[in-house]
Amino acid sequence: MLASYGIESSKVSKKEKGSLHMTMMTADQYEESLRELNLVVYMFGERLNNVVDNTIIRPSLQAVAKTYELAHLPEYEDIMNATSHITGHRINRFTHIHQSIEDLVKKSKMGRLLGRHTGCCFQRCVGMDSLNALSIVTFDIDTKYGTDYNKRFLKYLEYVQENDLTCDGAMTDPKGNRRLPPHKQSDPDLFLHVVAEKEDGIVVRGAKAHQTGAVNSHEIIVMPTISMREEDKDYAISFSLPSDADGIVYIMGRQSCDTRKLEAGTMDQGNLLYGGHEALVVFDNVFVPWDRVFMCKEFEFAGELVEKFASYHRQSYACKVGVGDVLIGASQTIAEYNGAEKASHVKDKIIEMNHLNETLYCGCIACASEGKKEPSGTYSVNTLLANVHKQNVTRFPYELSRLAQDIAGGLMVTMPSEKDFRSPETGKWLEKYYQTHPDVPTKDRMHILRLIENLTLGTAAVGYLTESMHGAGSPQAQRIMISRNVNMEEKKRAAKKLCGIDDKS
Amino acid sequence: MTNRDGILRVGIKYCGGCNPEYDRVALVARIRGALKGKVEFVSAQSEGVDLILAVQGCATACADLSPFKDMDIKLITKVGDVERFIQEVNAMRLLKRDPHSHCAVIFK
Repeated sequence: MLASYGIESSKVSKKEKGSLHMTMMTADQYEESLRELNLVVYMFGERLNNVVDNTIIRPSLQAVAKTYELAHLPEYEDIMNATSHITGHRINRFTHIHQSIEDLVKKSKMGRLLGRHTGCCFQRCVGMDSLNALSIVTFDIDTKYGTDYNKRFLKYLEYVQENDLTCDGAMTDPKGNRRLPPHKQSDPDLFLHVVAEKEDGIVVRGAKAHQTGAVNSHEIIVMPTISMREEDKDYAISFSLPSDADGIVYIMGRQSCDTRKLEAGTMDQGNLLYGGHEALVVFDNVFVPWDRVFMCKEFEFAGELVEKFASYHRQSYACKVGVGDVLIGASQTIAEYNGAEKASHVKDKIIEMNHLNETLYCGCIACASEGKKEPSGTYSVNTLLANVHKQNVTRFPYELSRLAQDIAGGLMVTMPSEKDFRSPETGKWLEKYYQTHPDVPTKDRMHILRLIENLTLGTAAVGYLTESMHGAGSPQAQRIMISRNVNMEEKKRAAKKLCGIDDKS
Repeated sequence: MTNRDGILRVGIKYCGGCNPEYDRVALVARIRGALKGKVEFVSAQSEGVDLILAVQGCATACADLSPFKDMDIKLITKVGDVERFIQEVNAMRLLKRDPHSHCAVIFK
């Protein structure tokens, strides 16, 4: 099965030897599988020769590895495992196609679980959402045109499930001038497109921006970024590739406070173990064999694929509830360390934080619970509720962060470095003047402040705040979908009926 | 039902732990300690299990128990359920040793 994909990838060749072939990888096996990749990655102007052990990238790898680790623990398997509808094998839920409402609900719960365990973006949901969207749309294209995209897709899905791969779902094009459609852009590559069709496949060129977890992924699944018309059919393209396919280049994005990870010590990073990353992924005339192509110029299905993926991915922001759990826990802890936990306004702020966080949880559970079965057999979330949920996510983490900073106090942004705490000249003064209570070690107080800083304006704020704003679509995208999906006529009818208006007269 | 030494085999099935109200693993460790030598704890999928201990992190109790629908299942949804479970298991062991024991009455 693996050989059928026929693309040069050292990862695949190792798997063909049987060394890593199993249905669910362990965290260690996941890390080793990444070492087999030959990714072209640039950061700070230089090509990296070792991505896995890079100090800045590694916390993001460890966050993805958590999705593998928890899948093997009995206390999490009820959420982290699923049964493949293709093979009947036990698989990691991140490779699963939702077969029921219960699957959708467990997906939301998995997001919260992992958000709380990592305190950051664990990057793997985007691939799961791509797979589920493609399971629906390839079926729908085949129904209209008699093509065999769904058959190709299911073969690919089995490959992903059996090898427990992490997939980067790549949707967002650079987009150039927002006023212009893809075919009218001054540079045709500002949206990824087909540049050549061959007997054995296609050649594509373009880029995908803001790709979360890209260099921690075995595969990259490309989808169009907007609805398209016939003039843009060369841009209506979806396919998968090994992440180290020839012609793919990764340019890592910066994060606020990222170089703190290069510093010694354990305090100033805030989150010692986990983080996220994003990259610009360039496709420089990349060949894609036909058996990895899932849409090619069926422009009228581009919008459906975007909408299905976006709805699933807006549900996926359940993860922010788990990160919110961490932020609330940190806020309560610093309130206690400061001796302020009994102040009525502090208690009320903690209540408000929980209210906001659980309201987010309501949304991701609701859109799952109100899901439905698609013609392909895949269960999809309720589109309206998924968009309402994500709209809340664009706002509430900011308010949660404001409240956390309010409770934390200004020391969060004025405290000296860990080196100053360790210095014989300054450490004694910092210990003396930053203590609050003899039972609270000053260094513990500093650690929790650094975690709040990390979440609300450091590296993790990339995921908790700005990604909450723009990930899975910016706020206006959700408002358009809310407008499209509400049944306004039914609301009007209900109102008119109650006050005696008879539209028939 | 019990093995040759009269030791019950209890299969542990956890919920997924998305937002548990207590430390499920620590609670199971406490139960293991209290029933040491009396009960063999195994995974729920193991062969020859006498009963399933479903450790649910909250009252929603969402763990998928459908694979065990024909088995005796004891639920724990909060820390306060532990003593009841231990009593039930102890009574169950008495019942196995003496089928005429009135302890059977607690299994309603």
